[in-house]
Amino acid sequence: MYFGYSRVVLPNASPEPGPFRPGRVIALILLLSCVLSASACGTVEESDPEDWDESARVALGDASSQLSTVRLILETERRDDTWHGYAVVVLADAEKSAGKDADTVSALQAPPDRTKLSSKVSDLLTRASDLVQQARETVVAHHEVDQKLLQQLQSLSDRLDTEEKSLR
Amino acid sequence: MRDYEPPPHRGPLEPWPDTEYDAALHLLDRQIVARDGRLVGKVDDVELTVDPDGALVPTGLLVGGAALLPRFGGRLGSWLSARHEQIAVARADRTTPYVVDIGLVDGVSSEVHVSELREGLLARRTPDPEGPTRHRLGELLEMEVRMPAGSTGRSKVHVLDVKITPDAGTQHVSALVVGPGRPGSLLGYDRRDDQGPLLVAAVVRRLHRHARVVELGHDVDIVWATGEVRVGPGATIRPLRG
Amino acid sequence: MKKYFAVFLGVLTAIGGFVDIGDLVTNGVVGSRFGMSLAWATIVGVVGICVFSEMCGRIAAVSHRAVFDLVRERLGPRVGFLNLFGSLLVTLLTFIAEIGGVALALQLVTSVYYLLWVPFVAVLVWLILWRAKFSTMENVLGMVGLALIVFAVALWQLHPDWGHLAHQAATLHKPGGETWPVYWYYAVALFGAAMTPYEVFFFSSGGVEERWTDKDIGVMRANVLIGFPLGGLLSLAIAGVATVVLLPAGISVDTLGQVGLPVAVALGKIGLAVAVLGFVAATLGAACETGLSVGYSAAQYFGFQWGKYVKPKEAALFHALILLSIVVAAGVLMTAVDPILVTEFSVVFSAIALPLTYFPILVVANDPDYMGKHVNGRLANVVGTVFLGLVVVASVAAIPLMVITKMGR
Repeated sequence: MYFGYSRVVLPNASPEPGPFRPGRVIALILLLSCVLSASACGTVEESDPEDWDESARVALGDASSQLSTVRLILETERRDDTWHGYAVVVLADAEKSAGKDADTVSALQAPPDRTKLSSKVSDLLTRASDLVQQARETVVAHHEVDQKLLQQLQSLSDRLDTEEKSLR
Repeated sequence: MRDYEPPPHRGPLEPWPDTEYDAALHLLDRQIVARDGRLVGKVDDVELTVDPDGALVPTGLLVGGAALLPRFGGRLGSWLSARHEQIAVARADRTTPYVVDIGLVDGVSSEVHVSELREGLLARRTPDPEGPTRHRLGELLEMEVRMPAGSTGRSKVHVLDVKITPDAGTQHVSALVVGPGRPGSLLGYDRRDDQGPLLVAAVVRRLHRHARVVELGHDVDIVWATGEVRVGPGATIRPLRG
Repeated sequence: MKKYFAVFLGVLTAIGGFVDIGDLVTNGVVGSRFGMSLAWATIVGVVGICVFSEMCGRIAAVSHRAVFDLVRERLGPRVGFLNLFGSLLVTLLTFIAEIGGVALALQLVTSVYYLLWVPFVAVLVWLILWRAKFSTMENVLGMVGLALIVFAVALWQLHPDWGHLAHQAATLHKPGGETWPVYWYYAVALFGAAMTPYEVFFFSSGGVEERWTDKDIGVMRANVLIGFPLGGLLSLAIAGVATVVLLPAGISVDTLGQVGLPVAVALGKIGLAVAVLGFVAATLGAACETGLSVGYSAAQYFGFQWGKYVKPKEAALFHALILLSIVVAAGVLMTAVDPILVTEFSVVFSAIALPLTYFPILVVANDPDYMGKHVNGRLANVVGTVFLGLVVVASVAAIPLMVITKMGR
């Protein structure tokens, strides 16, 4: 009896806290999520060919999308349809993404039969990243965007697309 | 006297408490609102006092963690209550919930109105070893019920809700709704036949086809110490609806 | 006359308040990758939010009870608490995404790095939630959010082949480069973006804040049934301009800046400025709504005083909780986590958490003890039951789809 209230007595419950251990549940969830995330991004291990193709394909697709974004924002900037700051932010974001794409593939250990393809893809991605950087520098320095840069962006983006399609 | 406009629809208990009501469905977990329209807390549990002739009379609304956490039930409930007590070990009253005397309640609709201002409303009961025995509605709910053979289709049934009947200015627990499952799982579909949507109603009724109402009285024993209700063959048992 | 004005104002704020960071990003991404082929998912989501909000609004008007009051009353403290826990997590996630969205939008205006804006935005949100009047906050941000109509204007100015867009929307079709699991993943995401749980927490609590009675049901219905579908049209317009400009160019959206690009192409500098203004207002409005929703749901579960209809000192715990969630949200953003990624998570988890609150609302909307003569009619129940099925399917499918598609990659 506690201050006139009978104590809550539940069937099968001892006065000590029962064997409910949230610690175990949390540990299990943590362990599960570790296993899941580890299986999702074991990049340093030598990946099997299909995983590598998948990663390369995603990186190529994304880099191509960044090149197209850059081209579109440069054209918009040339027509004075955007303000300088907006263009710079979009370009900086594209540069960051393109750099990340290049890093993903170069950090990935290619399976033996993909070594040649790997260096080709890495090379393309690095060129994409450099081109985006060049575009950003041009705009930040308020230089005139010339037709040549736009053409380079277009052709490199097309090459990335072709390469991406061949990996499907 | 109220200082604000209460909701226009009063629910089944108009005016409170002139009709029989289901304590878990209509009183537990409702919002308590003070006279000034300010929110006080939820009805975390209901205090039931054993009166001299043995009837269970609701005498107060219990509020606070000490009332709420045991209602989580089973191991989770005892674990949470133990943690709640651990936070304030030095306090002698850490297991005693706050209480709002039932006499202050002047109406129950979709909220519970109290005839006092919010400030300083909640207090704990002073311990009184000579006083009447008090229980909690939360303990009664979920109690295992031993039914006489052949009275329901299931062997393992629990108290799902508690019917409270007003009589001459007071009110008392008059019957128990028993069946498989947990309190609240009837979702109010036992009250009337035409409540939609059809699909949900049909599923809930199917799950609770073994539910019964047991009148308190002859041959019904609530054994608080072990947490079970013993129903003998002489008890009055009726189907949930009709 | 006054009543018509109330309807008009309500509809306008409902339109402006409908789109948030989740809608902006998800519709941009889907338009740029799938064209209009997933328009149906947005439309289903908009019908769903209309059904859900109408029920919540009606319950709030008749019984003065908001969503989490009902969740606890119907499901009990235990299931109600698990429900609260899940819903709070999703709402907090959305809150983080919205604050991040405001910061990203401000970055587009000022080219100041968004992380520097985060603390400023957090303080601004706190000041609004602490000081501003509820109706002022809702109306001003909703009205400015109407700036997003510029997306519809841009779509019209782009002179698209309307027949082609309609054909894409009407047929079960996906572009060659995408797979079916990704298609269904984005269908669930669009559904979650349109039916975010905080919208109904806010809507029903707002009804209680503004002291609706059953006389206001008509106005509330008009706001929901006209305002939300028009807001849904803005979502479709965002997907539409992305379909017309970004999809053919081979751009798939992954930043907020890209979402605005088609407007620049169609309408130039001024159009773009209006669009970015719309971004800021829509995300700021949604940040206020989600911040309040965190406080609303916890307060309604535990029963302590909530609401902006009382002075902050009378609802101290409520305001303390909001302040705490602002600090947490800003703290999470300051770890430099990508707000767009948080947004993508938040819309999918919204879809997962939806049945938790939808089911008890459907039950209570049918209970004459609460609703008197305003219980669900036959139409509301048929549509309501269909959507009960849909939200459960979307909720169950969401996690497997997320894992299989690696979040739509």
